[in-house]
Amino acid sequence: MFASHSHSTRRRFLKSSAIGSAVLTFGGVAPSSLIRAAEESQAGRILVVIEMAGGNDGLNTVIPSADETYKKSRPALAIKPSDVLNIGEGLGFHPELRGFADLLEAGKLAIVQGVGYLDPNRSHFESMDIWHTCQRKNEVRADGWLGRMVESRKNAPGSDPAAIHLGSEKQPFALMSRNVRVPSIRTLEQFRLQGTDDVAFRKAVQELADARRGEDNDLLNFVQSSTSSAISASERLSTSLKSYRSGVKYPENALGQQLKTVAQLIGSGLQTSVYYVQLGGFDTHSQQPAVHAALLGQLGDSVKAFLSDLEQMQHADQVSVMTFSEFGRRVAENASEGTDHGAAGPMFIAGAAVRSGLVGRHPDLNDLEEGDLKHHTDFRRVYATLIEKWFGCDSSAILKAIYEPLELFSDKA
Amino acid sequence: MNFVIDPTWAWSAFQPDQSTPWNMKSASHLFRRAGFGATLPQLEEATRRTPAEVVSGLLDTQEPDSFLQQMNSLAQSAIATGNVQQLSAVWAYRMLFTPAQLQEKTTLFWHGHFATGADKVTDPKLMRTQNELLRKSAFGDFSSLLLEISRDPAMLIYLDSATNRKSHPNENYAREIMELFCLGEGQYTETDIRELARCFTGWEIRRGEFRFNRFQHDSGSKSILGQEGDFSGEDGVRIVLEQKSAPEFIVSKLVRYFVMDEPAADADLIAPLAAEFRDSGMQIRPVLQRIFSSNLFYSAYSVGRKVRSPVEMAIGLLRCLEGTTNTFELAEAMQTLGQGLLYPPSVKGWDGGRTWINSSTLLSRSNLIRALITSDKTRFGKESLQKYLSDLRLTKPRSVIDHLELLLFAVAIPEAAKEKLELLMKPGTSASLTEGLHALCTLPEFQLS
Amino acid sequence: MSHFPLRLIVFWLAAGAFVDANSAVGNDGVVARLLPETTVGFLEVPEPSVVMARILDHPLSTRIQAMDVFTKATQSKEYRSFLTGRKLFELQIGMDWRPAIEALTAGGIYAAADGATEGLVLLVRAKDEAVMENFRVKILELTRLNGEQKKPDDYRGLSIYKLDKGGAAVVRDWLVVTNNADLGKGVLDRLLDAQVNSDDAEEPVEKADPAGVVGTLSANAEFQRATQMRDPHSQVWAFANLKSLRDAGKAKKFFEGKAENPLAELLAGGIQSTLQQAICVSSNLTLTDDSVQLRISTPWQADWIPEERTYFFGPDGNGKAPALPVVPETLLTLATYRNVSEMWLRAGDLFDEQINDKLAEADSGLSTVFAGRDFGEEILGSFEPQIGIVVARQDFTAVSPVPAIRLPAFALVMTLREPEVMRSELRRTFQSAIGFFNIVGAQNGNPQLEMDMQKSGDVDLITSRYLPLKKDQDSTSAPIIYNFSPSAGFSGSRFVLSSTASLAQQLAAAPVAQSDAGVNTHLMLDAGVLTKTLDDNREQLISQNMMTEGRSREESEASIDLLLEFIRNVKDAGLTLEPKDDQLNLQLKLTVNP
Repeated sequence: MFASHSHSTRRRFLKSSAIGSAVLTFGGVAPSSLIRAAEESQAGRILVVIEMAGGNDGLNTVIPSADETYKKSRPALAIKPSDVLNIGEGLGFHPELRGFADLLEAGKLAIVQGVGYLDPNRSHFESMDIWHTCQRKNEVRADGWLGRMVESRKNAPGSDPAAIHLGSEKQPFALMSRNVRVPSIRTLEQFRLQGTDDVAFRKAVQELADARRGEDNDLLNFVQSSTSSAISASERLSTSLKSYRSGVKYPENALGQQLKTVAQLIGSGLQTSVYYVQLGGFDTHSQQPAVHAALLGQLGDSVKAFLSDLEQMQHADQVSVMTFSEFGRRVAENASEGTDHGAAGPMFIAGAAVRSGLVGRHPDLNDLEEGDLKHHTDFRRVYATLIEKWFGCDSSAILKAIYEPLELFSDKA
Repeated sequence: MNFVIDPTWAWSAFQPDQSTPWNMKSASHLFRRAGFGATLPQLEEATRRTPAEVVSGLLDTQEPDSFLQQMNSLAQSAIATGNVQQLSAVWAYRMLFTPAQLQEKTTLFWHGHFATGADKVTDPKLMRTQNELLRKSAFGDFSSLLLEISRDPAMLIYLDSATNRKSHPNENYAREIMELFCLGEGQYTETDIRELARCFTGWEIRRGEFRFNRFQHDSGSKSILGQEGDFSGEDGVRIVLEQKSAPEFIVSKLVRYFVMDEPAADADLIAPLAAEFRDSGMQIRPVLQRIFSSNLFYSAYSVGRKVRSPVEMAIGLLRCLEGTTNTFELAEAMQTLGQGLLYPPSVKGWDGGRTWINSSTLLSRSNLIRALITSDKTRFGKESLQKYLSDLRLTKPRSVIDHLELLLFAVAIPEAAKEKLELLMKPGTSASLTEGLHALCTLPEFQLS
Repeated sequence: MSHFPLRLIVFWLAAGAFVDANSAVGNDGVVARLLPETTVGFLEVPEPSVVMARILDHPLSTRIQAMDVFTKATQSKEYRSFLTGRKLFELQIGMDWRPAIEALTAGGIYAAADGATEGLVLLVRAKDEAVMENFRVKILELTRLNGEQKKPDDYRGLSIYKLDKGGAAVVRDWLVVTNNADLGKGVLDRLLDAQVNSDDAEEPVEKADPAGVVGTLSANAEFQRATQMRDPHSQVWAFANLKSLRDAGKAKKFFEGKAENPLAELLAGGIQSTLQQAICVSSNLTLTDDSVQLRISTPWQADWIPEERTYFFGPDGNGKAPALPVVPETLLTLATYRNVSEMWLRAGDLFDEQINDKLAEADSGLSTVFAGRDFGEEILGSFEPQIGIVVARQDFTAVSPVPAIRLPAFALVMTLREPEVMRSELRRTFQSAIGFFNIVGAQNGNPQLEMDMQKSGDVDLITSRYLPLKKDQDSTSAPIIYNFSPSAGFSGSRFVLSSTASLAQQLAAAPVAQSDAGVNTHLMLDAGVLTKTLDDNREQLISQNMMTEGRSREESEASIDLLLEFIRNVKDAGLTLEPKDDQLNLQLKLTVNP
């Protein structure tokens, strides 16, 4: 499936053989401490979801630039073979997606091609709801897949939130569940105890929270230990912010800054396992080139900065990033230098633990369904992979059916 | 605490004695639970009367006409903007200023029970109509409230049940009325849901109004919860209410909301109250009267055994100190803390209890308190906090702490904590007062009611 | 009140006499010779008594003092301690505060900021030496009473009263206060050495520098340029040395060429380019019986404006604001020259990458609304580079439903380059935009727009109105959307895009006003109509005030009525921006009701 001349594949090979030899020196059997460490690390794993709202033009993201049908279908929008960033198999990234090309080069990006679902819906709202809930309109949709997942993981009440949504938009359906409430935060400041930096005040608050009450009121003891850990979390965050001297420069756009906030929260040791951010504007019905280029630039540069920041903070092994969009766009461009709502598109999974490279073939441009690319991989297989392989949970109840996971993570993960 | 509560003792009329006296502290507990809290003069006045008299007073208090007119005018103004979030602020305003605290607290209960979210309904008019229905019925007849809610436009829109055709009965409302509104899980089968859904066919919402479409009603015979007949929607609601578990379910929820989060009251404890509820023809007022006049309510099983909700916390802090503030910001802050008025997280309403608490909500609570007391829109008795307290002759840190403890705390503040707080407040400046109050409201004890 | 006009006439005469006899320019010449050449900011009030009289004796002051809120404010602790202080001062001086201040400041109040020492200095000139001496003695007594007095330092025979890092001194009829010793010494030296004063400065003295100009502000080129822009009738005048500030690297942000966002660029882009070049700024504040006027001027040259900002002042700075049609109940008009099409297309040179990304997104969205036509080139480019905006109060008497919030109507008035071609193009575009709104509206459950066409003579109208939902039909508190009946009007080359059909109709048919010739931008607000518009929404304003302030109904009513009362005293407010000759003038004027 993978072209043997691809840089990333070669790199991955070297990497895994290095791990192999490390294991061999321990006598062929991984010592129990390593297994324990692996289990522990699974407990601290984090998923960052980036929603690309509006319907990303997958065909101009992962581009079959030499394909004749592509050139013919897109006289104004086609990107020239000389301009794309070559990623093998006759495909190339959009020239503004340099960030992703670098991640692929570094062996940290999986590109899952041809993702979608049967009988695709082309309404933003409806298709978005399908991606969020994994259910169709005729079913009762009370919760989302991430909500069901964090619910099944049974976080102890009173500790850090199981998931966090960043941004001022309405909370995404994917995070809804009957029993777990997910906070939406706009800024990092919401996670820090506000007020003066007066040492006496801060110290008093911490001591007041830390003192054990030793009463028979269980509820009071519960609130006391929660308050104590909340104040500690805030102090930890303050301290880590003070020492936060990231050499990484995040792009000055909303996504970059939100991912920076996520990195800082992770850096402060918060036990949250899911972060959700949104990037809108992909509904490019006209004048697509400039907008799409800008958005892809923001996406690639922000994710790249985020991952290298995590690496500096030594949290890289803990984190995976997933992107999705509610649908791709039509193969044929429209008359106003734009594209209309379509169907299948690519998803990206990024992170140090990711098995880098292209997954699945590019959808055939000569085999369309109502003018749209056909999917060959159901999006729930990607979800199943994250639930099972990344978080080690059972996915069937969460996804309401059994989906076969993909090979998206390297063996050591 | 492992215990079995004697139901007879629990629901008998509270007779103050030495171990549980009727004093400012117990009156403060009553006002916190049967409302949002009381000011010092209100507490003093209450202790001059018997607990039963005070409870009757809480149930009887009506909003005067002039106040109703003002609330109407605020709601109209909010509707005029078309922005449903404004209604949230109108409600926060009402909670801050209403003389009828218990009515408002109970309206909030019904809002959580019949949870309907403005984010989905979006029409402020419909949200207001429902809110007024809940307020009007707060102490009234549960049967008629349930029937009206079953035809309430906002509710049916929220539950995707605005259309209900006989060829494709919408099961959503049928499920929720049994699971969440009346009986609780395990009291019905999937077949009951399907059959009940057929009763509601033809119940539609068109242009924001309920209408019965007789052509879409399935008039065939149905079999629901052991009864058979060609039932209408009204019959369906009646049959659900006739179940033995209905009064038990409602009373359990009321006890949890007004008396204690945990442990969950067992069936024996609920039984006498549920029976009384049923025998009165599902009248809510007598149940509330009984609850607030009971031994259980004033006992250690109840005092300090609830986690403050965001609304109780924010409105309570202000009301106890005659405070007012920008109600838009107030409503937004409560929403950030997870209890947006008119914005319940799901049809299940707010779970309450321990689910209010995590590191994010605790920090947000503390930050909200700070923002509230430092906002230039916040006034206490129309003054600054410092001026307000000094007008009450509370100038020493210790007397301020003791005052706030009486009004705001269900659980005593440990002596060591008071000493620390005193030190913080010692400089006597308005900044040190802010620090002190902020630290006070960040105490674990403050999260309990 | 009946004697008031007489008093005004007296003041007018007095002020006039002052200007003639004691030529302000002559007086500032004196002060400029006392200040160092490195002065970067200078403010003067040559006749404070006139300013005091204009403010304190105006009927508006009497009215404000009669207001409830004023009475309340005077009960505050701060105000009371102010009164106590004033009383003490009066007792000490042995005069009422006002004549005392008038005498003490009869020769003017002057303040300056020096770039070299970064110090500030305040100069006050009394009626004569006796007044100043009396003041000095009395104030010394006062400080002695308070036990604050320290022994004065001696400098060239003068007593210097130390204050923090600076000090105060009296020289003849001058009081000098500064926060910087070096700056203070320089001023005192010049006062002592040159013996300058307006009388003997005229006398020919055999010196290399007869007037004592060398090294003083008088010799400063930027200052000299600013004095040329001085209005002899203004009561307060200020100067800032932009060149020095720029050279010293101060206020970098202020002199930066780029605007933060497109709106800021549109409003002030050309001003920013001017500030990068202009050497000085001169501000005149003029108070008359019925107005306050502030005029800020800088030197200006058309070739200072870079090519990418030609859209702002037009080629050679000749862009003129359009003359706008006049309609009744006009609340606000804005007329300006801006070549928006050019700005849109030059966005790449004007903004940073982030804004350009956003503009690209907007361009894409707008082109969708305009059925695939290029927004910058084809839509914006089809108009003359003149923009008019008219806001007028709406009349709801014959309308149903009546919205609860009664917004004024607003309209854009533009001129078509090729009316014959563009009329039908724009009509089609308008129709498809309405169709687009209807689709979006239907998705959101809003009422639908119904279109209509009217033609009478040369006036061509396409109107639309919201078909009221059944529940709203006869409402007098209908949703806000019923404020709008989006419409377009054409007559000749005039194109009107309006939020209501009636304003579109009126604007298309009305004759134009006399325009302010040569003006780049002109904005006018009619306070009378503003009061009426606010009054239309009084109930709404009270409700919103109750909620935002957490007030009782009574408090909010009082506060809204006070606001209305306050605005009732204002007649109108205006702003003009105009490059004229070699000067750029920004003028703000507030007119009050007599």
